[in-house]
Parts: sequence; C-alpha cells; structure tokens
Amino acid sequence: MKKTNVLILGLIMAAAVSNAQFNKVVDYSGLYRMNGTYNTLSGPVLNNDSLSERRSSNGYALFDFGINVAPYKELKVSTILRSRSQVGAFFGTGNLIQFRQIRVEGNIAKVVKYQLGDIDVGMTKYTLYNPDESYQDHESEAFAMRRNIVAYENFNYGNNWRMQGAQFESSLLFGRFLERVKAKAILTRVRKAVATNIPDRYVMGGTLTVLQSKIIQLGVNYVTMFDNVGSALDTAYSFSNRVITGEYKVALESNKILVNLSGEFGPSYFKYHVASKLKTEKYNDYFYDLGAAATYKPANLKLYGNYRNIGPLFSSPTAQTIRLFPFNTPTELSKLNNGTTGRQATMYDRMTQEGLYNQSIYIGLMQYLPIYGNVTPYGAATPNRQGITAGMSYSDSSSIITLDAKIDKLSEIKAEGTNKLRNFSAYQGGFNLDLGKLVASKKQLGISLGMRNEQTMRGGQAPINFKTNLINSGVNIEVLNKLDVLLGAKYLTGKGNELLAQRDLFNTILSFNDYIINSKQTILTGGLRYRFFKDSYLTFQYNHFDNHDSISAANNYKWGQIWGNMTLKF
Amino acid sequence: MKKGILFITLFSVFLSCKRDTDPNKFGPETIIVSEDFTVTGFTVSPSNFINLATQDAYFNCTMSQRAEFKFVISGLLSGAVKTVSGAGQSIDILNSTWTGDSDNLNLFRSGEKCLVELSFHGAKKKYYDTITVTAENSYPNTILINNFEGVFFDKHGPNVAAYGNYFDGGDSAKSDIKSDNTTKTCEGAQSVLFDGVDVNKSFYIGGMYFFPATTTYSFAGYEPDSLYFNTYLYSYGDNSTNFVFSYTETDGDIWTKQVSVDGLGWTLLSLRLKDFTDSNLGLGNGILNLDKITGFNINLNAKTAGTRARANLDYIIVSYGRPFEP
Repeated sequence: MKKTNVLILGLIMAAAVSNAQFNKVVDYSGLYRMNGTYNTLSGPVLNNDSLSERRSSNGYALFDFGINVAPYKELKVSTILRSRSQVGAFFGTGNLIQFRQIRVEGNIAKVVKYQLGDIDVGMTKYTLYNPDESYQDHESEAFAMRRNIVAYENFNYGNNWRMQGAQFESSLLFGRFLERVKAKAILTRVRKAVATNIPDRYVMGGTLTVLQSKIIQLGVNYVTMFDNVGSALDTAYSFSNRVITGEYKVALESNKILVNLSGEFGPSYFKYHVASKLKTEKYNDYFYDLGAAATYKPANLKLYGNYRNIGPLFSSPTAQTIRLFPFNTPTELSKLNNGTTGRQATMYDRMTQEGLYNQSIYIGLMQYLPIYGNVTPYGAATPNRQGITAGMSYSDSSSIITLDAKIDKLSEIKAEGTNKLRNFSAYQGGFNLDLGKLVASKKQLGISLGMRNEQTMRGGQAPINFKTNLINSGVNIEVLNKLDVLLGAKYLTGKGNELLAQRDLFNTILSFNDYIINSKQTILTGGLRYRFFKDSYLTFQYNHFDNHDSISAANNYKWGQIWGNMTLKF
Repeated sequence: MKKGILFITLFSVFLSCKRDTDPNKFGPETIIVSEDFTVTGFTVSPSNFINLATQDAYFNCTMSQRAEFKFVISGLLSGAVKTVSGAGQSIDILNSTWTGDSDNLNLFRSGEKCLVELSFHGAKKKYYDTITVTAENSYPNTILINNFEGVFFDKHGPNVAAYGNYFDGGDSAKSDIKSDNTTKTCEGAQSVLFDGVDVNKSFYIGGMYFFPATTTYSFAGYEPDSLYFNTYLYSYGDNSTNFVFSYTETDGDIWTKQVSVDGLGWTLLSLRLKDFTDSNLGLGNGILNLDKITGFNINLNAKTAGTRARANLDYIIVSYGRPFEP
C-alpha cells in the first residue's frame, strides 16, 4: 500500500477517534456505489473487422466518505475521501484512495459567509453558468439515474462550475425603503502555470443585488477571467476577459395574476496577447435579454416571452464553455475498424459515460456536434443570436400533470462566410403525468413524454438545411412496495448539412468544415429498481441502442447493455 | 441613496455597451459548389521541385464556377502540414502562394517529398500532386545558431563545444550529450539529447556552448527588446530538468535565464534577450550590448540534487521582431 494511502487511512482513523473527544462536532456522510455493465456489439460496423470488441464488461465500486468537523459554530471543515477500485482488477490491493473534495466554510461575525477550497460557483446565464449539454426534459427515470451519476462524478451540481478558490456571501437587512442588499464575491484559480509558457489563470467576480421590496430587484454582476502575467515567461500568452451585466426584476401581483418583468444586459471585453503571433486581439460586444411573464395563479398557468440579442463577439467563457467533450472517445466499446479508430460518442454515451465530460473553462468557443443542439449550443449565452423565445407551463394544484411548451425563433446577427444569415427554430414541449396520484394510489405510477424539434436554414451560395428531432418518453410503475418497473425510450434523428466554424485561438473563424448527416439513434430501456430509501437503490436494466447512419451503412451497429447499480447514500 | 447608486451603475453598464463588427472575424468566403463542378489544368509552379530557401510554391487551375478551395501540403517524413485556402474562379499565384512555412511545430525537410491535396467545398472529388523540397525554408529576420544536423557530434563540431560532467568526472556512462535521430526531431533528421546524472550533487550536469565564426554575432543595429532566443524543447514528462540559457558578451557580461522543463512533448521556447539577467556582476558594463554577443551557452541542471535530468533541443535560432514561428 502506498504511503499516501496509509496517511489517508490514518486520517480517517484519527477522525474517528477524535469523534469521541469532539462529540457533536464531527459527523459523517457517505455514498457507496457498485456499478457494472455488460456490453454486446453487433451490426455492419463489424463486417471485415475481426479485432474490435464484440463483448465487454466493466465495473467499479466506490465509497465516498465525507467527514465534517465543526469545532466552532462559525467554522466547518469538510472533506470527502474516495476509495475506488475496478471490479476484477487487483481486488482490494488495487484500490485508489484520494481526496475528492476539501472545503472550509463558516461565517465572519455572522455577517459574511465564506467557503474556501473546492467550491461550486454560479451567477447568471450570461456571466458564470454551466449550461446543460442537451435537451433532457421529460426523460424516463431510468435515464435520469444514469445522468445523475455522470453529473455527480463531474461535479455538475445544477448549472454551477466546480472550481478551487474562495467564495464570500453576505446579506444585509435594511429599513423601510430598502428591504435587503445581497453581495457575493468569488476568487478562484482555474489553471496552474504549466511549463514555461502557460501562466496561471484566475476567475474572479461578484454580484450585488438590491431588493427594494417584493416589487423591485436590481443587480449588478461582474466576472473576469485573466492570466497571471509573470507566472510564466512573458513572451508567451496573456488573456483577459470581462463581463459586466445589469439585472432587473419587477413583480406586479394581484389576487389572481402575477406579472414579472425581468432583464439582463451588459458588455464583454476580450483581450488576448500572443507574442509569437505578434498580435494582441481585442474586441468588445454586448447582449441584452428582456422578458415578461404572466402567471394566472388559480390555474398555475404561466405564459412567458423574451427577446434577446447576443452579440456576435460577446465573450463570456465562464458561461459559454460546454460541459462535455463531444469528440472524446467513450470508454465502453471504444474501438472500431479492427481496433484502429475510436468510436464516436453517441446520445447513449453522452448520458452514461463519465469520462466524456469537461470540468475546465475554455476561452475559445469549443467544437460541438449540431445533432445534439444547434440553436444554442453554448447555452443562453451562445453568441451571434437574436430573436424571441415564448412558452408556457402548467401544473394542476396536486401536480398530477405538469406540462410545458417553448418556441425559439432566432437568427444570426452577423453572417458567417456569406452575406446570408442562418435562421434557427426550436419547438419543444412535453408532459409528466402522475397516474398514481390521479387514481389516489399510494404506489408510484408515472408517464412522461417530451420532444424537441430544431431547424437551421440558410440560403445563398453556401446553403444550410439541417433538422433534428428528439423524443423522450418514460414509464415508471411501482409493482410492489418500493419495487419499480422502469421503461424508457429516446429517439433522435438528424438530417441535412451544416458548416462548422473552425476558429483560431482568438475565436476568429478560419474556415468551415462540412457536417453532413442522415442518422437515427434509438435507446430502448427496461428494468427494475428497488428503492431502499431516498437516493438509495438497487437497479438492473437492459438497454438497447441502435445507431443507424443512412449515409454510411457501414457505421450502423446495435449495442446491448445490461447495467446493474447499487447506490447507497447517507 | 444606495438604490440611486445602483440605478446609476446599471445605466452606466448599459451606456458602456459597444459592438465590434470586424468582418474578418466571421470567416472567409464560403461557397458550396454545384454537382456539375469541374476542374482543369491542376499544376504546381514553378515546378514540382521547390527550393524553399529561395522559392515560393503556388498552384494553378481553373474551375467551372467560383469555388472555395483548400490545399493541404503534408510532409511525408517530417509530419509538417500546411493548409492554403481561398476562394475564386481560378487558382494562381495571387491566391495560392505557399512560402514554405508550416502550420504545426514540424518544419518541412530538405529532400522530403510532400503530398498536395486539393479539395473544393461541396465537391466529392479531390485532386493530388507532389512537391519535393530540395532545400529547407529560410526565415526572414532570423539567425540560425544550430540545427544539430550533419556530422555535428562527437561532442565538438563547428562553432560548438560541449563540456561538464560528460567529460570531467562522475559517472560518464550515465551522462551524455549526443545526436538524437529518433522520431524526436522538429527540424531535419536530428535533434540533440541532453541526458545526465548530477553525480556530484551540485545540480549542474553539463552544457554546450555555441559561438559564431567571427568574434561576435551580427546583432548590431537591432532593438534589444525585439531579439528572441528560440529553440524547440522536448520534455520527457519527468519534471526533473532545468535549463539555464545564457549569452556572453566580449566585455564579460553573462546574461542568464533559467527555464523549468515541464509537461510532455515538444514546445517552441522563445526567450526575449532583454529578459535575461546579468549573472556576472562585477565584470562587464552591465549593459546589454548586442554588438558584443560572442556566444550562447546552454547548461543542463537537475531540479533535485543527485538526480537525472534530460531533454532534447532542436533548431536554435535567434529571431528579430517577434518570437520564431515556423
């Protein structure tokens, strides 16, 4: 056993012993997971291929042991130790023990809350935000379980980014004319200096929000990302980006109707010096997003709409970075063509493969695959978009049925490579129906269905006609006490052509690569789940994935996967 | 009062919004050709044999319609790749000139055969030809110090000397400085491998010294803050190595800069001469005199006393105006 493992085990034991001495100031939390897959691959992709895997199995067991020490009311020190081993690889001697999280938190004079160490940070959709990687609404619970694991492993807690640094928050109550002022500040280092020419990189920012009353709320947000010039040779790179936004929210309420007016707007300032290019690139741009919503309270019916204009050069890396590397090779059945090429990640891989995900902030706009979302691939802050979004949501008073619908009608502001603008349309909607509540049964019985349709069109000398459809559906039936049958389906189609911008390190478009597809992806899932208690379960599922490529039939394959998982959380 | 300040701040944020609309940032002209698109007369000029030291290459052909084209020139030995792209009704010297540079760290080699692939956006058919490089590219505003080619080693070659523990003591069997003609090269067929053990636990292992054919290098007349010392540097990922680069003046000044070798693989290192510090206090005038530079020195140091250090260097070149870019 390595010295570090001995040290860590010693710390655990010391913590356990000290618990007796610091009674009521030490508590523990934990998460145990045993995960296993058995995979089979078949189809034309294996024709003339004798070397690629037809069958594979993978599995691991892990235990995250959280130790929270609170020696004083104002201070808590917490850490999560992770023990992880591959199933069938060296047994216990192959265990890897490492720190998953170290954090100190507390408050100063009961006025300022602080967190130091591994922290989760987020602000607004245009400043500091970790956008979802694709449309996931109304998915089967079977798929949600897979996504939750991937999110946990990659620290994707909501739409926050996991960073290392410090975060401070304060909220001050005022008098009659000013209800409350809230302030938040963050300081993180997102990259350590590497070699001789890559300097440290920091993200700093803060928000100041004034709640004048329940009616009016005003805020200012600021986030900056910059290199620590001097931490590497100054003949290399130096980057800085700033985003400043203003926010307002106005709420007008009567007995039956609540009207909300809200908006956010502000500029961005990009600057990047690269000595070897003899170039310092600077550009500024801005965005605004103005919206209104009305809720008819007796019916829980909400209608909303907004208009946004996100400048072609609006730069906000902390809100535009994609949380997933779409071109990474998955770990399951990773090789094709006699083991010579990596299998391209599919809709199923994106939902189940932890290793595809990204935890770093990138200053350039990352490459993406349009089939998984072409209208706003970088989230709400996707640059070069203008247009309207409108939608509705409804939920009955018992939450038996919830449904929603949304329309995006957007276009580019500045044409790319031609004088014609792309036009984007997206239509999405769906419902969740709780039949258990409807028939007054104590057992869970739910049905969900959702869809999203996207279209991208452009005329002229470089025409674009690209369409995608995504359908999600799920059924969960509690057949015995806490024993559920889970069914799920996802169906994704993509057809047409797009042109993918290839950018240099300054985000300038150098060329366009063709993206031409005619493909269908289908996931069908069925399985059982036994719920021990909240967030703890044992499940076995069978997943059938079908990849159908009409342009190159040689890429077609079927992937069957048995997935077993036990998760215990306390 | 505070509400008023916030209103003013919000208003200021709104007023500060500006939009840059530089058309060059939104990509080159893009054209998708029709299905009946044809190409005639594809040739390389001035010939299929190019002396990159003295010549530029360009391409010729005519198309049945205005089209977006792309040439990909791939060195079959070096791994160097260059892409030339544009749009037009025809291709000629005005829109397809290749000056011999590379898009990646590798440089096109003398004697190397290169594959030229011509493609058009929207057309399935591609067109091929070859170029043979008869002489390596030369770069304006540069002075090549050494590229470690030819019969440079054993230890002492023209205008270079190697010294230190390699010869003077310690376990010389574990320490060496030698030509490396494996795949670890960015330019030509060879780089130089520094590989040694700090046997006397002084950090210092050994070094090389480069000197000009005349007394001093011909840097006179340049601006001191615009001269760069450049070298390709290969790191083995063991985080054990420091290099101390220095240059000496005839008056005794020795200007040094230490560089930590981290990461894995090749990088192109560029050091501005003005950023070196005078380590020979007491000798010389303490002023950077470009007309007095009489040699460049590279010392290999271990990061931890008594341990091994290693790295490769290739293509040491001084550039004027900006860091070297292939």
